[in-house]
Amino acid sequence: MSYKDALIHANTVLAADPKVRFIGYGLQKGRALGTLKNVPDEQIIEMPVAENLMLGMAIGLSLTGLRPVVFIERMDFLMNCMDALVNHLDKIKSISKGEFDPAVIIRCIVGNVKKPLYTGATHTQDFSNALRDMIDIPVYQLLTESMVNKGYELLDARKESAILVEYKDLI
Amino acid sequence: MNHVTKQQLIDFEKEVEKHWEEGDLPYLIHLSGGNEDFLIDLFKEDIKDGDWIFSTHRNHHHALLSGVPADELMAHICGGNSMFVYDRSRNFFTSSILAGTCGIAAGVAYALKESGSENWVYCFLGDGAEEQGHFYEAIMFVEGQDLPCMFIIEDNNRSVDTTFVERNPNKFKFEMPSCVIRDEYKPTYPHAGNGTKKHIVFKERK
Repeated sequence: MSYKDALIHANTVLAADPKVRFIGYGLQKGRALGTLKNVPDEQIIEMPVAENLMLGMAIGLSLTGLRPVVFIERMDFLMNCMDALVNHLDKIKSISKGEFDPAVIIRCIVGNVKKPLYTGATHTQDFSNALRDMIDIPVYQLLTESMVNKGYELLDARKESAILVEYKDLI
Repeated sequence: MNHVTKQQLIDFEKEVEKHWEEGDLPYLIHLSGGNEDFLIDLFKEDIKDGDWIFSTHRNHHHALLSGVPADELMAHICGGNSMFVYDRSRNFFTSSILAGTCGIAAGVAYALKESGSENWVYCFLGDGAEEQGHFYEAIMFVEGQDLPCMFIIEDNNRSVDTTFVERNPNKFKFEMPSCVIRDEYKPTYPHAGNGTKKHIVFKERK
């Protein structure tokens, strides 16, 4: 199984839960680089290019019992939703003393550096280590198809927040 | 929805103020005041059981009107959590980050609409947060998707301590869509604390 096939399989398994929603822009047409090709249309929420709104929306959906998965097509763009991530998703359970406990999966793609099309310094950054210093939410760097399978299986079982870092060079 | 009177709201904040001035509260507090009539009408006429309330750092009035018991709220405040009032049973949520709740409110509203619920989301913010980009992302989406979400700008002509004309000499404002309402009021208290000139010796944090 290729890295991309592993991502397709993992997201197809996630989508078997009718409470899962995939949130992002260009998803209905682009299907997150094809990785959501088996996901039913009704589980996809098409969004504007507004990353903080995307993650805020996901937190809100989670508060009502849904299981959101946010797709950030370049990890660089995650910087636009740091308030929703650092001040809200990461803190809500502790500052609300457990009254609210949202769980959101965030998929981030690190842009390709080894093969075309090259996209430059603002589309290829990997902030995994920086994020580990900032938040308690786990950050999983998925470097092989085996890690993809294990990472998604873990999240499907635990139903907790996590950041999945996926690499376009491998897709 | 509520059975809290204007005088009860005022008296509650006076009691918090007293604790603060006596040094019992070594924490940042933001007192509510001046907007009681508008809020009492809103909670009585529009907000129903099961609706979601998203509040701010200035949340005491909102919490009381949402049904949070006064003694519980006072204990919470005295424990250093004035800015962090949450009540899952009443769908009451706060954030002390300006405009931080706008996207979250939109998400709850999206889910309510999808599930066919008749409940609504009410998201409070001030005229300082009105200038945050995250507010505009959310209202454009809510209006464009016809979501059951109302944003209420409690306009006290103050962004922390700066008036509108001081930060925007041309007095420029966008025309707001139907999902936004505004209440202009004169605040009773300053942004934080109670404005006393007295030197307060705060006790150690609990």
